[in-house]
Amino acid sequence: MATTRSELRLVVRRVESVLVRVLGVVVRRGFEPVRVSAVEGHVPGTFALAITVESERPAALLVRHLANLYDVERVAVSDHDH
Amino acid sequence: MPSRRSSHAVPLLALADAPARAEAATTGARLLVDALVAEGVEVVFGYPGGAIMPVYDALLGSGLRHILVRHEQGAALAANGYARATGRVGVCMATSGPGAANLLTGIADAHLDSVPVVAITGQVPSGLLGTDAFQEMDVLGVFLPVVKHSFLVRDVADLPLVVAEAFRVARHGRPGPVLIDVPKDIALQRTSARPLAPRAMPPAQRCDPAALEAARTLIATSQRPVVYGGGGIGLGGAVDAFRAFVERGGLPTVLTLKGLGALDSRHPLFLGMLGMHGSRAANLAVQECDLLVAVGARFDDRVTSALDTFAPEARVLHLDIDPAEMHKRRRADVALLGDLTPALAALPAPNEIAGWRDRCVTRREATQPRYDAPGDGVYAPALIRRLCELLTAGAVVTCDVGQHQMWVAQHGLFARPEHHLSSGGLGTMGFGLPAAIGAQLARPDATVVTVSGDGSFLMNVQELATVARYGLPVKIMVIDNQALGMVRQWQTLFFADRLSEVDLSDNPDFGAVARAFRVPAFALHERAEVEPTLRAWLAEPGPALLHVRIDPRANVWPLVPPNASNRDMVGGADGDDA
Repeated sequence: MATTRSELRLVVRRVESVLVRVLGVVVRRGFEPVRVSAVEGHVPGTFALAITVESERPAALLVRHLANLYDVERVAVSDHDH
Repeated sequence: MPSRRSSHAVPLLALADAPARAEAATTGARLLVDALVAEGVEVVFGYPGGAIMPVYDALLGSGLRHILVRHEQGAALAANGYARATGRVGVCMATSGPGAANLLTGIADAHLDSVPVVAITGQVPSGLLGTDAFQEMDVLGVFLPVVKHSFLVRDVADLPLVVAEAFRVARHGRPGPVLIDVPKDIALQRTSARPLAPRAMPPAQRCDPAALEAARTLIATSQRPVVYGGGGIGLGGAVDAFRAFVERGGLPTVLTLKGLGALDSRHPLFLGMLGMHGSRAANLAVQECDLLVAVGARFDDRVTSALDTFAPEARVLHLDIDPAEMHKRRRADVALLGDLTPALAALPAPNEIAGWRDRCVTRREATQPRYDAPGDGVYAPALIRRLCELLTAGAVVTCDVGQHQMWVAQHGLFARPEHHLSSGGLGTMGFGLPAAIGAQLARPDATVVTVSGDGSFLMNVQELATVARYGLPVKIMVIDNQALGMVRQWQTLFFADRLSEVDLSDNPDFGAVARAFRVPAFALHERAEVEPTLRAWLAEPGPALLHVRIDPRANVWPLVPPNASNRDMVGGADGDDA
């Protein structure tokens, strides 16, 4: 099965441990983060995250896991073949 | 020192109902306890220690019933059993560091089996966090992978919202455990905040109408449908809707370990448990079906065996509340996301499937397990079947993990999912006794039995002290084959009979152990004694242990070998036997 590179874009609440929480789900669900950025979001009290991941698993699965997190307000993905 | 943002994300909408303020000041610990009372909590399982001492002080006179276990793992698993038996949120608490660490297994168990539990841990004072203080552990970090959410309380005024949100999150959608970590200084701090009212649950989430229409078409065009029900049916309060759907269509039905009881074990449409130790009738029906209706189930690896061979001819209709389960291991042709009850009610009966149904039921009848094994020793499958026949309606059976767990699943009789409490996802040895304690406290009038093995039982044997302390009439059956039987079975079958560290022939005298804890004990070593001994043991008014010696060579059949298809199961009614 081919590895796919995908870029995730998230808006999360800016609270303690949120970055660890998000990246933990990414890694535990079988995705390798290869690029990560976090900046303050347009809405006060939020972070805008961009995470590029590689995996043989479809990124849509990861999106659904991330969307379940309490602190995640929005998550979307764009796929690029590796 | 820079300010820290609380670990709990206060939803922006929630700010509108910030805690009401009162004149009379209280402490964070008292506020926490009052918030638990406001959530309707009646029982808390726990074990005190340094960092959580303010909370234990606040428990005095609070009206909450605290059950003192003898190991924090017992607290987490008892809360887990309490929740499984009732559908209510189970609550456990422990101190920082080792206390919290000891909760971990029970919380991970709740996570994998979607059980609503709130765990409260004391933490070192805020100023000592990150300094390697005495009994400090990064509890938030350690628990991250095994909770639905977690909170580290940084401001005492946040406690009401944190508790209310913890209970809401634990219950809402797919249930799960939530952690609240409370530094000692927060628990001691004065505050005028007051508990919030419990959060209202949102209305049932209804499926997408287009998906529902596609589901109807799938069912209408199916000639060989099978319903595959899982633990989500009980968790979602959808047992009645599930039964109505099955009976409306006359649908052959298989259940997972966690789904057992969603359809009565004696129901004419029930083909058995599916998967690694599933029945031949259940597994073959799934392998031959052209439509698999998965209801609150997650295509777990113990169900599917080799995934690429599972239900090879089937289209899949998947009903679940959790979007993350859709297409996770098996792509669904139609995914119905939402609450199960309205979704099931909206599904039609299939067209004529009498021939297919008869084929499934006939095969079930032809492959019924036999209970007349040769010899004079106790035959565990027959023992379990007879036990369940003797139990009164509404009885709860908890299990540990291993061969006995599979015998209970295969041969037990269950009328409701909450009558069979088994550690499905995590497979936690030591689950049975503390889970039974939780179930007995939740349902004091019910007969509660735990069926354990000689390996599992010693993992939480200290909870016999809890049983005795509170006079809980739990009936404890220890099935003793003087080995770690399931591991021994696998070493025999798949590791060329090279037995490695499975011998438990130096087990203690289980009867003497029980009596040391002031629990009466019975022994059962001969088949001829099964009936009178079971009756005498069950008739004990208080707790009682039954030590059962069985043949150490006994195996669990049928069995799907590793990496094989469910079609290739070995053993059972028309295969090899031990």
